[in-house]
Amino acid sequence: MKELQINDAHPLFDRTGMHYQVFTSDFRQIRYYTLLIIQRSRTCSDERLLLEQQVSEVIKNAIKHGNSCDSSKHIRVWYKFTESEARMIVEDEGSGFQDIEKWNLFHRKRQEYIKKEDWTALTSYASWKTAKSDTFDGGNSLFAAVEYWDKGVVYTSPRNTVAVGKRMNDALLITGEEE
Amino acid sequence: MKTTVSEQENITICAVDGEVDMYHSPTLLSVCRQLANRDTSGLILNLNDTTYIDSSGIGVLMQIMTYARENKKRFALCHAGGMVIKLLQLSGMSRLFPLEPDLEKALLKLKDKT
Repeated sequence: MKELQINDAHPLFDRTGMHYQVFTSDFRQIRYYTLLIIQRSRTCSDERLLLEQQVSEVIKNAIKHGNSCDSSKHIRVWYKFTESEARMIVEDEGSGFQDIEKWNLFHRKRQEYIKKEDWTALTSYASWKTAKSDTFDGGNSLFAAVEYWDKGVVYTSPRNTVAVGKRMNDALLITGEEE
Repeated sequence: MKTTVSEQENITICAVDGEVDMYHSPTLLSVCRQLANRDTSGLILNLNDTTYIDSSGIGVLMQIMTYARENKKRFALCHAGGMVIKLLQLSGMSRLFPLEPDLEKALLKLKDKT
C-alpha cells in the first residue's frame, strides 16, 4: 500500500548534487516557481504537464498549508532531474503536517473502496478535508502524489519537510526530435 | 481559461478551454453554479481544449457535479484527455465522474436519463 512516510533517514533526503532555491510564500507565484524548477527537467512533452502539476502541488502545499501564505516566511527547495529519476525536497516554516497518520488511514479506506469498486462508498472518501480546508482545496492532491512519486512521499519527523521521487525512463524523457 | 456556453436539446454545454488551475478554478465554479441554475435539464462540461488541471480544478469539478445534482440537473464531463484524464486516474477520481468520450455520447447519455 502506497502511503505517506515519516523517515528522517530516507535516501530521498540526500541533497547531494541537487539544485537549491529559496522562494517567498507568495501564492500568486506558485506556477512561476514551478516553471523555474521544471526547466531543469528533460521530461518529454506528454509527461511535462503532469510533472509540472505534481511539482506545483508540492510547492502549493508548502506555501499555502505550511506557511499559510505568510509572505515573511520562505520555502526552501532542492531538486534534481536526471535520466533515471526526478526528485525534490521542499521545506517550509510551518508547524508540520500533523495529520499524516489520519491521512494514511483515510487513504487506506479509500483504496479499499476503489478495489471493491464501491463507487457509492467512495463518494464519501472523494476528498480529504480538514477544519482548515477552504473551498478551493481540492483535497485530492496527495492521492495522486503517492501514485505519481513512485520512489516515495516522505516527511521528516517535524513534518515540515517533504521529499518526493519518481523513477524516469526513456519513454518519459525528451527525444532527439523534441530538442 | 475561457468558457464558452451553448445549449443543445435542452442541455447546457460549457466548453472549458485552457488551464483550470488554482487561479482559475474559482471562476469556473462561479460560472458553472450559474449554469446549473439555468432552466435546462442537464449540464455538460466539454474538456476537449482543457490543457491543464490541478487538484483545485478537480475539486471544483466535484463541487460543480454535486451542485448540479442538488439542483436536479444531469451532469457529465466529456473529452477529458491528455494530462486531465491522467490526473483524474492517478487521484482515483475518474471513477467518481460520469466521463463520456465525446459530446455526442454525453448528450445521448443525458437525454436517455431525462
